[in-house]
Amino acid sequence: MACKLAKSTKSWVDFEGKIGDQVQLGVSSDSGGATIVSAVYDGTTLSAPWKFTLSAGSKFLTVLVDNPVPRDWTTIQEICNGGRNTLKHYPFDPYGPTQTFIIEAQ
Amino acid sequence: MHFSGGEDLRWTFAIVIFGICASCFARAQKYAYPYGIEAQGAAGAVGVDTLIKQSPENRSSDDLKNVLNIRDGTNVTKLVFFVSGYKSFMRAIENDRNDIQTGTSPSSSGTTSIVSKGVAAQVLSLATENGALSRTDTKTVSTFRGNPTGIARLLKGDEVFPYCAIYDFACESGLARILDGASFSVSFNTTPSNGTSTAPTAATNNSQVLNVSTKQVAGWGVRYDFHVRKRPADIAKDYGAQFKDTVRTAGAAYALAVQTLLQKIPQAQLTNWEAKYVSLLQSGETADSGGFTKALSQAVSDLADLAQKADPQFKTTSDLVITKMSSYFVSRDKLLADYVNKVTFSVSYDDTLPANQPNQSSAKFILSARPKVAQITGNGTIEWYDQILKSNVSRLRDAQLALELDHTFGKTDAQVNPSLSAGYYFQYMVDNALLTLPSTALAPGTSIPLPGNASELLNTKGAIHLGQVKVTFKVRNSGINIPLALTFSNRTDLIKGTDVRGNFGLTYNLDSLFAK
Repeated sequence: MACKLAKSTKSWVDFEGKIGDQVQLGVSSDSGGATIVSAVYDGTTLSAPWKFTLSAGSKFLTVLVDNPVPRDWTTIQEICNGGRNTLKHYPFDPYGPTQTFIIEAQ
Repeated sequence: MHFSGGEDLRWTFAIVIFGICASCFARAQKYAYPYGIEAQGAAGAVGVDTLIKQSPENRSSDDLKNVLNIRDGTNVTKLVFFVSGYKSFMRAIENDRNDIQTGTSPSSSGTTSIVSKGVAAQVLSLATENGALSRTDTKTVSTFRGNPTGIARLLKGDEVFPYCAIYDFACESGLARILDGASFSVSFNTTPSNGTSTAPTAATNNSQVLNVSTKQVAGWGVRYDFHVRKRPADIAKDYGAQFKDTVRTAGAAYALAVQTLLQKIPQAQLTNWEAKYVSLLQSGETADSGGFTKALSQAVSDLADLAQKADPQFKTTSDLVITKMSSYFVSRDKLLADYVNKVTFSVSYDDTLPANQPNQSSAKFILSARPKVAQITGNGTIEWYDQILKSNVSRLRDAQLALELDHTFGKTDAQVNPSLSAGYYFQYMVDNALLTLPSTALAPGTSIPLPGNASELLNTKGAIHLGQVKVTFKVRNSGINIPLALTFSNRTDLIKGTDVRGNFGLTYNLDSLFAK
C-alpha cells in the first residue's frame, strides 16, 4: 500500500491522513537491533505487524522501541508499498524509549 | 563486642574500607540536564548538550522545538522524574527485582536459603533467619550484607544506585563496574549464650551440647559477582526475537500509561509553553551554561504546573508511568539477562564460626540463569576446617551441591508478591565431624577457662540429602521479604536420623530505604 501519512503543518499535529486508511509501522537502526516492543493507537494496544486504521480527529500514537545499543540512530517508519516513510529519526535513549505522535485524520 | 573471627575478620574490614575508598572514584551516568533531549555523543545529533555550546542567536527554532518536544520519550521520563521523583522510580525498580541474596549462606546455623542467590544488595541488606538446614546447631542469625560502592555513594551523598539498562555498558565508569560486583557480609548470633562456657553434665543431652555458643559473630564472607557480556554487535543480532509476551504486555502497559499522561497536557497551553521557552533559549539570558540550565529547570517546572492545573490527578498518572516504566525495564532486563550476559556467576569465600566446632572456611561458586518463567540458581561449595587442632580428621570437611528454582506469582504491581521455591541440596561429609568440647580446666590461679579439646564425632562421615519448599512473601514498597520454608533431610551434619525443620525469617533490603 502507498504511504498514508503526510507531515502536518499544524504545530500540535505531527502527521495527517484520511479516515479509514490503514497504516503499518516498522523500525530500523544502524546496528540492526531496534525492535518495536509495543504500540498504542488512541488507547488501543496494537499487535505485530503493527497495523492500525486511522480514526477521525487528532489521535495519539505511542510506539515503544527497544534497541540494545544506546544512542544508536533509530528510525520509526510507516511501511508502504515499495518504500518507507520516516516518522522519526533519533538516537535511541534506553531510559526514554517511547515516541508519541499526534495523527489527525479527516 | 567480642569478635571471634580474629585476624581474618580484621582483614575483611580492611578490604571493605579499601573498597569504600576506591568506590569514591566510581561514577555512574545520569541525565545531565533537567529537561530536553540530550545528544550524549551520538554523531550528528542535536541536543541540549550541544545547543548549550552555541550562542543564543545561532540556536535554531526547529532544533529548540525538537529538544523540548514533550512527546519524545526522554522528555516524558524527565517530566515524570520531576513530578513523581527519581527516587520513586528507583524504589519501583527495587520492588520489581527479586533475585537478591540478603540472608546468610546455606551452611549457616540460621538460614532459610538452600542456595546463595545470584546478586547481592546494592547498598545494605539485613536478614534475620531462624533454623539451620544441614547443621545440627540451629539458631537465629542476623546477617548484614553490604556493597562497598553503594555505601561509598551513600556516604558521599551521591545517587546510591542509578538505574542502568542491562545493555548500557557505558552507564557506569569502568571502576564502578568492577567494584559493583564486590560485596561483604557479617552474620551475628542474635541469641548467643551468656558468654561463659558451660561444661556438659551427664544430664545434658547432645543437642544442648552442640548448640552452646559463646560466639557473637556467626560468620563473615566476601563475594564477587561476574557478568561476562556479549559484544553490542552480537547482542543486536536477533535482538527482537528475544522479546516474549510477558515483556510485551509490560511494554504495552508502559506505552498506554505514557499516552494517557500526554493526553492530559492541554495542547493550546503546550504551544504557548513551547513558544515561551524557544524564545528564552534564544535570548541573552541563556548565553551561559548556568542560565541555560536554569531555563530548562524552569521549563520542566512550568510544564508540570500547567499539566497539574489542567488535571489535578496528573501526579497520579505520572506515578503510574513510573510504575509501568520500572515494571517494563525490570522484566526486560530479567528476560535479556541470559542473552546479554553470556555467563552470570559469583564466587564467594565465607568463614563460619559454628558452636563447639573449629571455624570453617568455604569457597562457593554460584551460577544463576533464567531460562523461561523460573529462575534457576546452582551452587557448588567446598568447606574446610581452619584448624584441625590435634585430631586426625581430614582438613577438608565437606563438599556441597545445591539447585533451586524460583517462580514469582501474581501481578507485578500487587501489594504482596508470593514466590515459590523448590530446591535440592547435597552435602558429602568427607570425614567424621570435628568438635571442640568446652574445657572444664582453668588456667592456674585464674578463672580463665583453657581451650577445649578436639574430638572426632564418630559415624558422621557420609552423604546428607536435603529437600526444601519455600514460600517468600515480598511486600511491595517496603523492601521486606518474609520467607517460610519446610526442609526435609536424611540427617544433619552431626546427628544421624531424618529431620524435618521449619525455617522462617524476615529480610530487609535497605536499598529500598535509601531509595526513599
